[in-house]
This record gives sequence, structure tokens and C-alpha cells, in this order.
Amino acid sequence: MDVLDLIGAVTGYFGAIGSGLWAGAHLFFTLSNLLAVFGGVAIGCLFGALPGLSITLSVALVMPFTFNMDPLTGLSLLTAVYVGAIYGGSISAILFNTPGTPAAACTTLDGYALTQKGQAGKALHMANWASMVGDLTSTILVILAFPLLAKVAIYFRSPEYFALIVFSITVVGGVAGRSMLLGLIAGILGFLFSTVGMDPVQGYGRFDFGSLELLSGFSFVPLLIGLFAVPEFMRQFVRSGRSDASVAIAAETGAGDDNHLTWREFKASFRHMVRGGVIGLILGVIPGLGATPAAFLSYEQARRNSRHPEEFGHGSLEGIAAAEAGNNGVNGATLAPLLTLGIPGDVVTAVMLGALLIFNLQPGPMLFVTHADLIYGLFCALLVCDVALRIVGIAFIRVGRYVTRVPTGYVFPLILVLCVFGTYSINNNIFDVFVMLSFGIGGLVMERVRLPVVPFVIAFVLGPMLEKGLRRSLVISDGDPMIFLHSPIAVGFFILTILAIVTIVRSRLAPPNSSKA
Amino acid sequence: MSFRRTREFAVPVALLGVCAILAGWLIPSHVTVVGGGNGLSPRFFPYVLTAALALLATMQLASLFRGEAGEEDSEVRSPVLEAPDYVAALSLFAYFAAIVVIGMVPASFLALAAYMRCFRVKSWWKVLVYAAAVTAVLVVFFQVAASVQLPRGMLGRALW
Amino acid sequence: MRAQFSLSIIRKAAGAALCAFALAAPAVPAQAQDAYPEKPIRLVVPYGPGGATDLAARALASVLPEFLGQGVIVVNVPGAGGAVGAQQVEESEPDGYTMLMTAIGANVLRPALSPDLPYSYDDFDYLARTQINPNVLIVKADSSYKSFDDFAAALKAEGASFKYGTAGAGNVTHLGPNMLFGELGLPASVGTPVHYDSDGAALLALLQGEVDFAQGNLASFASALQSGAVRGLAMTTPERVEGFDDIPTYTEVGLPEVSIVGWRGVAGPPGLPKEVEDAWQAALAKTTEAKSWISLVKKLGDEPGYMPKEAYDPFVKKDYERYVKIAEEIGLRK
Repeated sequence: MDVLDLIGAVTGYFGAIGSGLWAGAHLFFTLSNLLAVFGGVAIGCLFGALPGLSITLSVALVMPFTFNMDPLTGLSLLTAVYVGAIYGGSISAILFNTPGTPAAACTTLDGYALTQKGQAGKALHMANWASMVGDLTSTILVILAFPLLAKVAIYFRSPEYFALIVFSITVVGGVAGRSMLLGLIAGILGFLFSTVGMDPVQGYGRFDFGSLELLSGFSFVPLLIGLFAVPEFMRQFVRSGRSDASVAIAAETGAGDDNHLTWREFKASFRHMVRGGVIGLILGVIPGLGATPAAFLSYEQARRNSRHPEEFGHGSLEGIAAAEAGNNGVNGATLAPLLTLGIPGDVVTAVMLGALLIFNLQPGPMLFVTHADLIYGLFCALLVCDVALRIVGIAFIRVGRYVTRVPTGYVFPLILVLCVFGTYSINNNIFDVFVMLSFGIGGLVMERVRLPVVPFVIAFVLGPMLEKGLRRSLVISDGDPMIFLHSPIAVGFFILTILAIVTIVRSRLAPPNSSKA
Repeated sequence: MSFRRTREFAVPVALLGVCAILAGWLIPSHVTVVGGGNGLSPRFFPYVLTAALALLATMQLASLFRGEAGEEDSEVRSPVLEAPDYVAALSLFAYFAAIVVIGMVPASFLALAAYMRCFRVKSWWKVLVYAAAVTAVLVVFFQVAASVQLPRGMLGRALW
Repeated sequence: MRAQFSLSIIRKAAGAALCAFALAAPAVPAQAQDAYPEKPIRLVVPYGPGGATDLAARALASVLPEFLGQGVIVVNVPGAGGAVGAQQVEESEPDGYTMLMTAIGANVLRPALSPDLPYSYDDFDYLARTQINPNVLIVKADSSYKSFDDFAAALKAEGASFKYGTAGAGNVTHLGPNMLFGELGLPASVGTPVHYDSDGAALLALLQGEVDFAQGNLASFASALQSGAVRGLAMTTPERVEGFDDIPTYTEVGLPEVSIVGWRGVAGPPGLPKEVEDAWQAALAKTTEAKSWISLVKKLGDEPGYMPKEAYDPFVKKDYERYVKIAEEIGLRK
């Protein structure tokens, strides 16, 4: 009897999802919705792929149009732009060592190395497939477990949030590079730079020197573009100064370019893609974390589980797959806190919340009762986005491969100017341009003194989250640190953190590897 | 001691200097603490980070003295930045100054043209046509499509 | 309404194109300035896209052109809690082509809390208030406080110590509860603020049971109120809000002074010419009566609250003074 009940309940659960999807598909598959998805992915890809153009700008650009559309069309368009932009960011990361969106910072590690070897096409295809598989994995899980996912956010209070960030920082710390010590120093510096501006808890200025610009803190995108794109520009500038003729980015590899992804390479990376999608899903459900940590976490997990961990950072296809699947896995998951709790996790979901309100749709559990077909329609949109991602992606990959053979004289000055325009347009503030150029020179200096840039960037993102989590928790507990031990989830993450530290220390100390610590 | 070794020592020493400035001046006088809140002070994390940085820099120094990190690269460059790096850095600030003075659009046109020449694009007409076309596309894209008001610079404001 | 929206988009796009040509062609001699809005106007929002003030500005920008005769382009200049955008407008040319979407945060609270800001609350030419933004006091649905009286009694009880979630220090969500404590004759220490990043995050903390109550933006809490996840105890508006008729106002519970409402409107840099002021005041008066605008604003969770310049100026001044007082009392003003 009990077994039958269970079977009944399970069939009921999935039956409801099936019929919901059917109704949603009915609502979704119209010409205008399909156009919105394909158009949105293309716009997103373009904005993501052009360095300096941000997701924020692309969303602000389509926002006025969405308010004028059918609710489902408008929401599909916004989702598609987001999905497209997160993927598009990988294109410039691979081609120019310039993450088009912050989430693609991780992809530069291996992508650009492949481009320099003349294998840009391979890397671009891998990023495209991984984005698709990662997004698909998390979308399917989102559809299957949506009601449960909404609960995850409820369990992540400040102490759990803090513990999760501690864990993420430790795991991602493995990206530190050759020297653990220098990696840690770079991380601390990144954290210190993140403290400039308004104190995240009490709102007062830190290191602002009375300037409003500094009081706002360093914006992430100018800093990131500065650290990646500008040093690359300067390197190319110096490189071209040495030679007399104009050169292209990719090494001259002759006619037989190794630019296609083989089935074997795809197969070897497939598990990293699925894992990345799941990691993205978990981090996406918790509001405020975002796609950047997801990419790094997924990357680090892949490196641990890979048969060729030594290739990571020198052009590993598995690395690209993991990073891109990780950041794209976040896409669908951010909808869970938005639709069920009305809590946006980032700027795109904030705009979607506004759109929902304008369409007279109140997010919350009732939305699933009153507008189930719309929600499932949106899920259909997410699934169609994956198809669009491949089709649009192929076009972008063609253009991208061509660009690597164009002389750098046409490419890098354009990228620099684009970065200047794009950086300015994020906050309509010229100070950001100055920040970008200054961090660019700083990035070059860091490289020359062998301080790795990536830990700096990660700490800049995760540092404020760590600080908020710790300080909020202690306000809530009236200063009692035991609050962290009262929560089983937090304790679980602390144990995982300790395990991670032990693993890292062991791998650095035990085998006298070829690479010295 | 070679140039290279000097540079390796310079980094932790410089970092220790930064820590001293942070702990001695920046944090006490440039982190506002106002009553009315409880929990950790806004200065807590800056102090912790400074301490951690000082510790790591000291460890780095110690390991250099022990000669551990003296990993010899085949490529030995003496100064941190070389002459072309300074040229590149200066050109970036020149570009920024031009944006402030003559506005973003003309400055970007000039920067594009100048950089293309530096990148060994030989033909002048290619440089000018490409720079003009790129600038035009950017103006259409940002100013017209995305309605971003690009900075006009001091000159631009004075003229119209 | 939809037709108006699309029309305004076309107009906006056309206007933007014209604007670009005007900027790109400096050789054209300046025309005689007969009618004021001769090119599209930038409406600066001192916050990022997707926020409440941004949506309010976009709603306004979709209806205004009808009455202003020119497109209105929303420009986001976020930073320093709204201070960067406000400062940018304050410094700009008073030619009527750069205006500010005012908000209580950027125009009153920031200057009230930080006297060293480069601008003051009265450095703007306030044209009209367009809307107010009700705040609502909420507790979790399973809490034992069924009404405001229950809650007030608990606050007054011996040794009461509450945690409340805010959308950031110095925000209305932070000062509002402090006003409540003050009016009840209680020290600020009965409630400890826990500062989150947004109203939504404060709501999440309430649902998680991390804080005991929150008082914030109705729009952000509306869905939770309607689904029954939280209970509304008191509304800060003078009258009950349509759709939330079961929530009493602070006036009804005998605390009329706790009427902390967010507000938004339009201002320009100081020294606007008379014709600009006139054009905007007329256009804003008509816009705020337009049905399309009213329905948009209500959907976004604000209440239409038009107030002409004559009333708006003293209103801003009064608001500023009262927040300075509160900030000094609880030691927030540095």
C-alpha cells in the first residue's frame, strides 16, 4: 500500500510537471516568442562577446521594449539576453584574453592559451557546447525540482551563507597558480581593494578621501576589464613594437589548423559540463552569489577530477568546459528565488521583477497556481534558448575564428576603444574609465612581479560577501560566534572546508612534483 | 645579487610598507566609524587583512632568504617595466586625458589612428578609414541605439 | 496603454537619433531658442536599472513626451547610495536637458546622514513630486503578533530586544523603525538593525526567521503579503492602500508621526530658466493625471502623490530636518 502511495505521489508530481510543460509549450510556441528568444540570444551574445559591453547595458537596452510585449514574450526576451550574454562573454575571453562578462574570467585561463596555439575554433566550440549542456542540465533540474529549489534559499541564512563563502574561497584558492604564497598575497590585495567604498554593513565610507567616486567603490567590470584586457593590449603593443610587420593573435600554424572539436574531446569533458551545470544550479538558487563564483568552483572541481590536471591553465578543453558550464548553469536557477520569493539575485532578475510587476504578475507561490502556464512557458523559453545558443553560437564562432587571423593592428586598438566606451556606459561615469586604465597598468605590474591576477579577482568578488556574512551573523547573535556551530549546514560546510585545506596542503607538500611550490 | 633577486625581495618589502601605511594611517583616519551599530566594526576586516598581508609578506621574505623561491626562469628581465611598457602606460593616460579635454569621440578616433600606426598598420588611408568607420559605428551604437550620453570633454562643452 | 507605449518608443528612438545628429554636427549654428524642449531630455536616475526609482522614471518617461513634446531618455548613474547621480545633475548645465529623478534616498537621506557630501538637499530646483512609496511593517505569518497593538505591547515589554531587517544603513527601512521607537517613547536599543542589500533580501531574512520584523517598501513585500507568508501590521501612508485594505495606517493606530514614506519626483540643477520650470510643471501636472501613468505606477507598487513645486519645496525641507534629527538621536550623522 505504502509503495503504491509513493508511486502515486511520484507519478502525480511528475504528471503535474508534464501537463504543466504541455500547457506552457502551448503558450510559448508562437512566432513572436521564438523570435524573442533567438533575437534575445543574439543580442546577448553580441553584448557579451564585445569586451566592455555589459549585461547591464544590454538589459537596459531591451527593457523598454519588453514592457510593451506580452508577458511571456517580454520575460523570454530578457531571459534569452541573459543566457546569450553569459555565453557570449566566453568568446572574447577566448579570443582576446578579455572576459566579455565577469563570469567568463575563468574561461580566459585556458581559452586564450588555445587561441595563441591557433586552436581558437576548438576552444570556441567547446565553450559553446559546454554553455549549452551546462544550461540544459540546470534547466532540466530546475523544471523537475522547482518547488524544492525555492526552499533552498530559505535555509541559507547569514551563517550558512558565510560558511558557503568560506568553503568557496578555499576551494577556489586552488586556482592560485604556481606559488601558494604569492596567490594568497594577490587574494588579500583583491580583498583589500574591495573594502574601498561604502562599508557593506553600516554604510559609512572606507578609504574614500571625501570623493563620491571612491565612496561608490571600484566597480567590478572596469576593474576586471582593466586587469585582463588592458595588460593584454599593452603586451600586444610592446610585441608589435618589436616586429616590423603586423602580426595576428594566433600563432602561424599553417593550413591544417586544428580547429574542430572531436567527439572524444567532447566526451572527455561531458561530465565536467554536467557537474558544472549542477554547481551553477546550486549557487544560482542562493540570491546574490552570481555566475562568477560558479565558474571558478566548477573549474576547480574539474581540475581535481581530471586525468590531465597539469593542462589546466595551459589550454585545457576540460577547463573551458567546466568554467562555461558553471556560469551558464546559474541562468535558470536564478529564476527560483525570483519567481517564488520575489527576490532578485542580480540586475537581470531585478529588471525581470519590474517586468513582472508591470504585467501585473506578483511573484510568489501563488504565481504557480494562477499563472502556471506562464511559468512553464518560461521554462520552455529556457530550453529553446539552448537550441538558439548553438545556432547563434556557430555564427559567432565563424566570425571569431576569422578575427584571430586579422592583424592585431585592427583588433586590439578596437578592443581598447570598445572597453573605454563600454566601461563608461556601465555607470555613465568617466571615473570608471580611469579605474579601468589604472588597474590595467596595475595588472601588468602584477604579472611582472608574478602576482597572479585570478585570485585577486576572486577575492574582490567573494571578499565583500564574506565580510557581510560574518558581520551580519554576529549582529544577529549579539556577537556570539557559536551561531556558526548551531547550524548543521554551516558546520557541514566548515568540515568540507577543512577537508579541502587538507587536500590542498597535501598536494602541495607530499609529492615532489615537477612544479615547485 | 642580481637585478632579478632584488626584484623578488622588493615585492614583499613594498607590501610590508603598504601594511605599515594601512595600519598606521589609512585605517585609523580613513575608515569612518560612527556609533549606532553593533557587531564588528568597519575597521575589523581592513585590520585583519593588513595583518594577514604582513604575515604573508614576511613569509615570502623568509622563503627568499632561505633561497627556496629562487626558481630560475630562462627569461630574465631586469626591471619590472621596460621602456616600451612605460610608453604603453603613458599612452593610455594620454588617451584618458584626451577624453577629458576634447571628448570621448574625437579622442577615441585619434587613439585608434595612433595605436594602429604603432601596431604597424602601414597604409595611412587604411588607418584613417578604419578609425573613422569604427568611431562612427560606436557613436551610432552607444549614443543613438543605447542613448548613452558620451562625455563631450571640456572643449566640447565650451563649443556647443 | 500599449499603443501609447509603442508610440513613445518610436518617438524616443527618433528623438535619440535626432539628438545624436545634433551632437555629431557641431558646425550647425545654434538655432534661436523659441520653444524649450527642442531636443530629447535626459532624466538621470541615481540608481541602477531595475530598481524602484528606475522603474518609476521609465514609467514617467513613457508618458511625459505626450505633454512635454519631446522624448525623455532615462540615464542610470548609480553609486554611493544615489549621491553620484544627484551630484552629476547638480553640477550640470541648468539648460533643462539634464533632469534628476528625485528620491528620498539621494535627495534627503544621504545629505541628512553625511554632512560632508558635495551637495545639500536644497541644491536642486524641485519641480514636482509625482508619487509616494508606502512602507509597511511586516512580521512573519506564524508570529504571535496578530495586530499592531500586540506588536507595540511586545516592544514596550521589559527587556524587549528585537532584530529588524533593513535594505541598508541610513535607508528608510532603517530610520522608519527608529521613528516608531521614538514615537512609542522607547530607546533605539529595543531594536537592532541588521543591514541587508535590498528590501528583497530583508524580506528573505524575515522569512528565514533571522530577523523579527521589517518595515520597507510595499512593492517589495506585496507578493509575500498576498500569499500570506508575512503579515502586515501597519502602513506608513496617511490613508489605507488599495488592495491592502486590511492593513491599518499608523495614523489609525495613533502614531501619525511615523508616516515615513519614500517619494519620487523630478528636479533640475539650480537656476533653471523660467520657461523650463513652467514647461516641466505643466507637463508633470498633466502626466500625473493621465490614466496610463496612474495604472503603471500602481502596478509598480507606488501611490500617485502629485505635489506642485510650492508644496514640494517645504515638504523636502521638513523631511530633511526630521531625518537629521533622527540621525543625530541615534548617532548616525557623522
